[in-house]
Amino acid sequence: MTSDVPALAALRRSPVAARRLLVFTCFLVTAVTLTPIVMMVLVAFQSDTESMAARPSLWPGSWHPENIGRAFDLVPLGRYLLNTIIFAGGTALLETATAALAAYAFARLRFRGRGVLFGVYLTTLMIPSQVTLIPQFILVAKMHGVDTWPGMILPHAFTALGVFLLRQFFLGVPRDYEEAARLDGANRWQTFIRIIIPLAVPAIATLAVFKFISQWNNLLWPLVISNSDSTRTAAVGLQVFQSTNGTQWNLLLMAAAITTVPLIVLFFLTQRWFVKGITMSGLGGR
Amino acid sequence: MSSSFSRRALLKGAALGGLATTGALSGCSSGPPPGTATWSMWSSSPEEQRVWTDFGHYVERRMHIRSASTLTPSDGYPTKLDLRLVSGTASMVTALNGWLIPTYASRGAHRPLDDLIAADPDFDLDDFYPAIRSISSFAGRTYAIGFDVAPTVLYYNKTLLERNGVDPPSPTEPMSWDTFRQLAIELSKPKDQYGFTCSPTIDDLVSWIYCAGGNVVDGDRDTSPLDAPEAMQAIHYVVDLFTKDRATPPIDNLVTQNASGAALANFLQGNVAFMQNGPWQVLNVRKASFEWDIVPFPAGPAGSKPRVSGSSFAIPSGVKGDDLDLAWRLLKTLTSTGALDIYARAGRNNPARLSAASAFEPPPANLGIVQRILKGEVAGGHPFDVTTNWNRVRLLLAQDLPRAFLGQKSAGDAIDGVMPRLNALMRQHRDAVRQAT
Repeated sequence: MTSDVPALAALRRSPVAARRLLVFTCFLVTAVTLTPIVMMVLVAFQSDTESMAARPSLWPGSWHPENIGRAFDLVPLGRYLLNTIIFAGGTALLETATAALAAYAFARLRFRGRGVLFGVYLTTLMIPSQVTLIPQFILVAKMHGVDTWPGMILPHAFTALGVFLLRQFFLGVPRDYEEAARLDGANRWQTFIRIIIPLAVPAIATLAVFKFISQWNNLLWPLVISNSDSTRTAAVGLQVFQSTNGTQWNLLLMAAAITTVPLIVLFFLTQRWFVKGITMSGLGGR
Repeated sequence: MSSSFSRRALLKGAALGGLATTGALSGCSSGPPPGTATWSMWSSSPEEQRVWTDFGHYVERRMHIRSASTLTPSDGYPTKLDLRLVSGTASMVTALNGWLIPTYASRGAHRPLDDLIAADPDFDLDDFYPAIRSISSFAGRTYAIGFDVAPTVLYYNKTLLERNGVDPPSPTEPMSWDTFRQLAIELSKPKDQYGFTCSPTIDDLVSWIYCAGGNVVDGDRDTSPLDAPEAMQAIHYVVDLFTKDRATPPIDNLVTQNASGAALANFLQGNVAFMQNGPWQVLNVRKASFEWDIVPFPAGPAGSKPRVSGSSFAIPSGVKGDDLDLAWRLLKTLTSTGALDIYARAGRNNPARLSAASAFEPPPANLGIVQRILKGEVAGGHPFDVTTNWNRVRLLLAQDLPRAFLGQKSAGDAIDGVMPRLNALMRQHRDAVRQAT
């Protein structure tokens, strides 16, 4: 029984103490979250010897900003970043388009077996991506998609999560808007494009942001499907700093810090969609 | 009926989209044109990439054919190779780390090469060190041709030894375990200086186990001899260096200590006298700010028999017909003396061919002992004995065994704890061997 705990009882009686506890908890969580990022940046500026130490110091003994240039010299990091933008951006763009169409069909079009089909579609959420990796790779390989942009992007451009997210949103849009559009002579397609899509911009933007971030960090698919620098993404490129002969920690973390910057910028630009996405679907961060 | 019309239009649109997608994929021409010599290899650093680029040029010069290599960071290489093998998109020739050869051979993923070797009078298998021939074989058949091979050696910090008034160890006569232990203890001043460093993993432990006359794998039994007295003697010896003698840098956490390069990081600090490692680290140790060299691995009750590891090229089972002929010619070129000279001159590791041995040369002064050990002229070595499920064996032993190095468990308890699961893996291995043969 919580009422038996004097500390909690005191907290309930004192809103000031409760607020302080909340602030302290938030501060603690923020510190725990930020510490690895701060460490990453600090080690990134250390010398080779310092970062390779068995007991590395946190604060650099001497700062080495030249590590930025070295990271770019060792691997074509700029190219990898561009490839990652193409891969993550392309996937996000395609998924939002396909998910919007499918979600609208599941939300508004009446056809036999719609519920069952949607249920079956949703079950794919329960299958880990590792399980479908081999058949997916074989399929793409047979279609000559290895080391090509379509082969990289298309298999990830259709997911049940996106459809589910947008369908939930479309179900909340009053039908009156569509009926009014119909009375004005708009057909289904025009209604979808001119009425539903503009209304669904927050949901679509949320989905696009989530998809972009998840694909930015995707390692396994780009690893197996990309064979050259022309399609290699940053997540795969970072592995170059790790080999059986050891790891160049400072350069690895420098490259990791550099590849994190675009994501941080994106996060601050699209922060409100993040919050919306979490409240809309309860699936934030997936 | 606008609604039915638009629904049809939507369906049409979807169908057209699907067709366009299929077209986009199938219209992509991925992969090199037919007749190209394709091969795959792990490559993590730009230096490694340069070596493989040189290999590609060498292949093109020698074979007058286009060479196309698929280079993958080493951590992801096995995953990618697995996928490419099952999907039938693997290269004609694939590089394999020696410990993975039984795994792929038992699965039938790669073909035996004995028929190709027998039919080719130009190919001399005797020019390869016996150790790499053993590593590249499975169930009595040759499945791969080596490109590098090397025994584990003992690196020593010459500067540190001089500073402590200790004579450098003999480059030809391995130290006894007793001598080594005394020296390691003598050179240890906890927090300032340590006598020895190695990784607390089975891959490093096996060298000591072989030197004691033990093993992890017994080809004739369904159980592991890891709990036999010989192996236990070796495990106790190494664990004692960590826990009782305090002759090694303390392990703060097993995550970093188990990672590759942890021992190297300790050694490069300059305050560790000896490091157990392979000649493949020479390139990295050359960055050290102190004088150093290598000597043979300390001799245990069974002599100096450290782990000998190597890597090879193999041909996937799916390669047939004209492609098989091309694959064999490519494999021969990739493992030819000329190609291995390129590899060795880059200082990557010791080449697998006797005729290419001269390319892996000093500095350091004693680097020549690598070839002498492999030839049996100095000390000795023991080909890395692995199972068809070695990765699982390795993972199992990485769970409990390191706790003995932390002093949280006795070595005996740690081994007793893993034996039932280890023996289950051994039975699986034996079944795989029986099925494969």
